[in-house]
Amino acid sequence: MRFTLAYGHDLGAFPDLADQMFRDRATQFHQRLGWSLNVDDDGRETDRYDAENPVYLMATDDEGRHLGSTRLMPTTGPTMIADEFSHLTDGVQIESPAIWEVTRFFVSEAASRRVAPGLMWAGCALALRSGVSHYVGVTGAHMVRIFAACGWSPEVIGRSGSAEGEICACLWEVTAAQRDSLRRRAGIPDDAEEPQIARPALNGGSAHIAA
Amino acid sequence: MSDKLKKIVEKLSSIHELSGLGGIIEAIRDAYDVDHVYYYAVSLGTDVPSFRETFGGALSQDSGIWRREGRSIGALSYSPEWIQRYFEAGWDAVDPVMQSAGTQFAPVDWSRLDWTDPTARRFFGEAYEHGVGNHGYTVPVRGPNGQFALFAVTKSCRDEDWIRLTADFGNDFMLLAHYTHQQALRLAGAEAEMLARPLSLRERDAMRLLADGKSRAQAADVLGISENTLRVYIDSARHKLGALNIPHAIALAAYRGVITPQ
Repeated sequence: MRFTLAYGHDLGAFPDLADQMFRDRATQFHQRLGWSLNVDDDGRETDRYDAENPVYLMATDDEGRHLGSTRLMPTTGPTMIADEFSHLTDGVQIESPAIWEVTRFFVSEAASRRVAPGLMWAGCALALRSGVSHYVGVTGAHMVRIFAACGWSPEVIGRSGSAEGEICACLWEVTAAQRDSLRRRAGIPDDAEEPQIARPALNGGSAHIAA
Repeated sequence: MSDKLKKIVEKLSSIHELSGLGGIIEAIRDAYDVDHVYYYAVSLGTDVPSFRETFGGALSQDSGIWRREGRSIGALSYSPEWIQRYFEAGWDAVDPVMQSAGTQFAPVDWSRLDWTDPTARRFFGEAYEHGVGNHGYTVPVRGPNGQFALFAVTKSCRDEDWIRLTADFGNDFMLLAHYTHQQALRLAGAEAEMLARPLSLRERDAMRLLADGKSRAQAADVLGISENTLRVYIDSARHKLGALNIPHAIALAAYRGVITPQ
């Protein structure tokens, strides 16, 4: 399992991986979950937040196949939870330097059970290094159970919709203990180096985890 | 909020002039036992008229506060020689910290940057000679109208000591960066830049309950939400008000008529 973290501006250094991610996003969120999303002629799903230079966190197998990914943004800039889902949070537009938003979190069907905890580990570690205390995100109610099963249970701070189509505003706490428990659950060794945001000019920026 | 941070925030909220930022920078340096600290606002999002009249376009220093081109201000513990040299040599166009923080939102650990470029290496060598330190951590801060500021701590130390320092106090540095920026906006008379974000009804309810002396648990109970949810709402309100802590947020909200305590 390999993790790559890159700013949107730097995705040009990872053309194949970025292409796989945007296509897999279309498969997951548009085709499978039936969300009404913009999918371009090449089958890539993108939205306006992709233009805001978010950080992408992507997992791949040893052959470079995309296994899952997510997108991270500061809540001091535009976010989905503030712009589109503030009805879930009593109309409050969440905005804090210590809170980041996570969106488009998914793992592909072919991925092993360690991929989701692995992505969460990398995201938790990055937040911890960055002085960030919480993630927020909006997700389907079924995902709340999946997050819990992966070992990082969010607190649901708001919900809306029917039992089938229920969506939830989630809050995850970032702690060193949480990071370490996710690492163990993902089967990643204690001494594995935490994935860093890529510096494309230097080394391509991906960290290989022997797990 | 750590005790160190609490003390600095108290001090920060008690200054009434921009020149007081110099003392804050020194207090942060001493509290966290680092070699240098700086706050440098590349843009406050507005022209500050008093800067332009007094200083024209040039780099200048008055009471420890550096000003540049009518928009930029800085309070830095670096030597005046290094600050002058940095801008006169145009190092800001080379500095990988400035280059990466310009487009990124996550704090930048300098050791993770690309220093392979010969000009960048020459810059680093010069900075090191001026006592900047071998390690640095820079937090970028952005706001409406192109506001952009950097807050950094630097230290000469072993790698493992540096890793421990940033792990222990990364959250403090993130918050100090934003709080210092909020206070700089206020003291520079750019407060109008901070009032762009209205509070929702729910945020006002939460602030009003705290202003009335309710505990967080009581306020959460009245609103029918969890304490963590309340915490997120209050923190959002605090950020939008440009306040440094909750009492300050309550005072600002009352002063501006956002809430009317009963």
